[in-house]
Amino acid sequence: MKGTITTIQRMSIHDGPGIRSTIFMKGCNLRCRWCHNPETWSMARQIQHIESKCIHCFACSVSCPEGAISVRDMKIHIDRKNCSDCGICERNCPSGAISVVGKEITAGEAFAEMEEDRIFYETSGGGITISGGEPFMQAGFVIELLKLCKENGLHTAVETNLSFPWQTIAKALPYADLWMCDLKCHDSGNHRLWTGSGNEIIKENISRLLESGANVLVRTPVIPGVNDNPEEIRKICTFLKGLGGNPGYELLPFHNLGFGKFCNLGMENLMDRSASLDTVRFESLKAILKEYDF
Amino acid sequence: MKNRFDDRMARMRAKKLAQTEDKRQVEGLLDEDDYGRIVPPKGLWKTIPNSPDGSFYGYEAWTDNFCSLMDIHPVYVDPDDAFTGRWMYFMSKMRKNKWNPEYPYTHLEENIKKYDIICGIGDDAHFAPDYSMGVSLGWGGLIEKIEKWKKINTGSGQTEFYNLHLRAISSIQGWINRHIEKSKELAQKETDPERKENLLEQARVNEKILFGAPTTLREACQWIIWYHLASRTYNRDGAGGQIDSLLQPFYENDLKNGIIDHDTAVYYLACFLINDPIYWQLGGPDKNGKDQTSEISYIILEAADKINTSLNITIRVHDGMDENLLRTAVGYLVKNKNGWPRFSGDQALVEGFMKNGYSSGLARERIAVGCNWMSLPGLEYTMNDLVKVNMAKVFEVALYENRNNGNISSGAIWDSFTKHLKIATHTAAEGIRHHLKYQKYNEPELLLNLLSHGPMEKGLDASDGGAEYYNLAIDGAGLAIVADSFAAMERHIEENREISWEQLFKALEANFSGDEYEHVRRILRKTDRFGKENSCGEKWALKVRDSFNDAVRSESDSEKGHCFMPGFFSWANTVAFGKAVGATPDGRYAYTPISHGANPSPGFVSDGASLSLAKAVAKIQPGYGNTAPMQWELDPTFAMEGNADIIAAIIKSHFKLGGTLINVNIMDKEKVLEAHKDPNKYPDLVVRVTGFTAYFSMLSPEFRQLVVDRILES
Repeated sequence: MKGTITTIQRMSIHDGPGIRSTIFMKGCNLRCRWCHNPETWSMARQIQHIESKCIHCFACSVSCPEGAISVRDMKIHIDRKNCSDCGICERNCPSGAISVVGKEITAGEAFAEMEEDRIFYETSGGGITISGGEPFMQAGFVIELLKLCKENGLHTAVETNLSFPWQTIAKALPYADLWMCDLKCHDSGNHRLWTGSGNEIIKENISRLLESGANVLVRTPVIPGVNDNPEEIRKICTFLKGLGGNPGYELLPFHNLGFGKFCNLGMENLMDRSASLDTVRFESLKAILKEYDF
Repeated sequence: MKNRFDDRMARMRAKKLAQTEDKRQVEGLLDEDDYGRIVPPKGLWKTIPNSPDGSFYGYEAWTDNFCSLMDIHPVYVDPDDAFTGRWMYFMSKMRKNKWNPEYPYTHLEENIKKYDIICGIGDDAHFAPDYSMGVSLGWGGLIEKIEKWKKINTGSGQTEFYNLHLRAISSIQGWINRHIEKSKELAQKETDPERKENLLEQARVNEKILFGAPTTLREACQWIIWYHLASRTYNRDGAGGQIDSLLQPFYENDLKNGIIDHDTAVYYLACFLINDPIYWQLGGPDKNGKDQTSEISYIILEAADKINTSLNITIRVHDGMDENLLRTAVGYLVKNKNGWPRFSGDQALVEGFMKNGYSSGLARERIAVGCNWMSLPGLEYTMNDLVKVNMAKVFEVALYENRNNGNISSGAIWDSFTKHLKIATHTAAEGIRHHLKYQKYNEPELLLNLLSHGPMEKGLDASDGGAEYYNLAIDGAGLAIVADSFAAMERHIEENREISWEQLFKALEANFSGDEYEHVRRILRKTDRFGKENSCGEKWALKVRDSFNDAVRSESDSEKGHCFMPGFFSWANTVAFGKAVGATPDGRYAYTPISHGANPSPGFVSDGASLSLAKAVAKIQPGYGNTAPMQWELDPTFAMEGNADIIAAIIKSHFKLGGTLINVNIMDKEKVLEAHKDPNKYPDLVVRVTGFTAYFSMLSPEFRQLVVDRILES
């Protein structure tokens, strides 16, 4: 089965234990304002242009069969409505400034590519992680890939928002060694405000995963003005402690490293660009987790 | 960990930094190892020539020079130091010429120049002494051994051979004796009771080992120091040994006798290590495969951490190793970020060396004791790290041989390349043979003979049949430049037809200047280069490796006992080699440095570079027991204590895949850039340039730039 991915990132060390390869799936059902991977929102291929890499040779403009790339003020402009994402511009770009985000790949191909680093997984206690976007947007592919990896002795992890029907999640249960899932806000209304969806199903799925004996690590990205307050973190801690199964819990600091991608992809960024997370504040929130024995 | 000698060790470290600064001020910059040497008094000693060219050649002249130097060599006694002595004179660098003109090699010079070969003729040392022989016999035992064989071997010139070695020992003993007097003299004046006692102990230790073999840890360390100071002075020899197993019996004996504790052992070893950044190996299997890690392995690392200067300690990684030693070593690496320790891989080294017909037991004894190299202590003569073929230059010769070839193709250039590589390698081998024939008339191995098995027994110099084995090293340099150039030509001229051969040559001749040729360069750079898995560059790199292996191996001669062993290493010659080569089709600008050793050119992959590097360098190993080191530049934001297990995992993976040696740099980019602008700002900043570490402030601006570029591009 084929899936659409942005990339397979090698030597991931923040997506589960040890050295891992993380496959980023395209397509997401949430629209978190602070998202640093906006290239994974759409399932479709997209053209990305990085101005800092551009040497202004305009080979892309000359080669574009749709005439979708024009030059104004010595800079290229992409008419995304007319762009067919054919990738001819990418092939003709000598500097790597313009590229197509998104490629189709079979589960077998993805497994073969990730398996190349098996020795590093084995020496470090690592493995593979399926992330995104939201992996379960392409559930068939994801389950096939997890199964392949598991059957071939690779440790598997999934990073998911769990905002899917349990029946879909359950199909992956036998093949995922670790579930990493976000609980971004405790209050469902707040969750809906910032991500576009409520969190009832997420909480329900966390509970079900734990009941199933899955190894679950819940994470909260700490976002300035959204959830960076002790009350919010305490509520989540209390909720998690009320569940059985002893889940892990950690906080992830907000960063804006992905904001440039919005511009590169011609997308609108609704997050406050000046937002930043104070380190002292983040550390004080982390200290709360210890109170709850996380 | 607190130590009651911390103050002393801190003062010694400060003195070491002052001595380094003194060297920089008085002698200028040096793109080499720190060596632990200090500046000699001005005008104290001059060489004694025995040749009209102002140089000195042959046994008698080298002995005369060495002994005259030892006779006046200044003493070095520091009340803080457990040991006495420092070396000052690069005797071998002070001669006018390094090769005796009576034995010319004009028949090789044309090709040496044509292919930019470092031929090694007249070079010295670069094989390992057997320190266990030294500490078991002592100077007195060595004298007895020489006297014994002098009576047996009475052939032409052999009596003189032995007498000259006896003279050398006698002059070293004279030097030691002057230190005994100095320690006593200073002790008389010293008012601090601890320092006074230390000075008296220095004198007692030296009196004990002046003739007798050492029996305590302190005596053993001091004996080793005297030998290496003398050998360094003679010809810069910096080979070490398996230091933990060498010292463990002395340490255990001291413990049994109740004369040592942990703090004292750390202090002794800190003093030992600060004396000279000799290449020592820790851990690894003994000849039977049993791990040699012991308590003293950890004490040595702890001592190294206390002084944290330029150090060349190698951890041998093998399947049966004490995992905690690796974890501890990586811990110190990320804590100090000073390029030590480094790591060698037992599996590939042993399997590779055995392919030359040696036993597994012998192969395990071939340990990391030099810049890029392994050696059997006391058993072999190797010319390790002395003979190098600039393959980028060979490629250039092949490329331009086809400049006017109407049927030019990457295949035709490859045929030319392999033809010239064979000629270049044969020239290098002929140079080695010439060296072996005449080196004894040029620069005998007076000091290394003493701790080798064979020279005394046979009455022959180590370079002249005295050694047990002759495993002769030839290293290739510029692998990535050649591989990526072939890949770029194949991909962009032949497959994609984006540029023509004529455009390529014009762009190269213009050094890619101007928009048109810069565009050509961009296209050439857009190649899947060596370093990326299963890339076109890797395909060519493997072809180059195989071709180089064949060329080197074909020079072996079992009748003469010559085993030629290939490696990939450029040492600090990347700058000089680059200056001999114009622009290359991989997009490299003219006369800029060539690629480093077996490493891919920087920027070879956009993601997972450490993993790709570990795999690529493992894959490209020549595989006969000599190394192709992985030079690994790590960003300090990654190389933190929290990631030590990840780093250890990559090290282990590289060795499981066939790697042989890893040199690691962890450098803060901002700090390096500031130090590059003003070297005085960070006088204690140490970088692992290649196999050796050096103080960044001691490097020339050109070499500092090379280190900066490597770090910024990694």
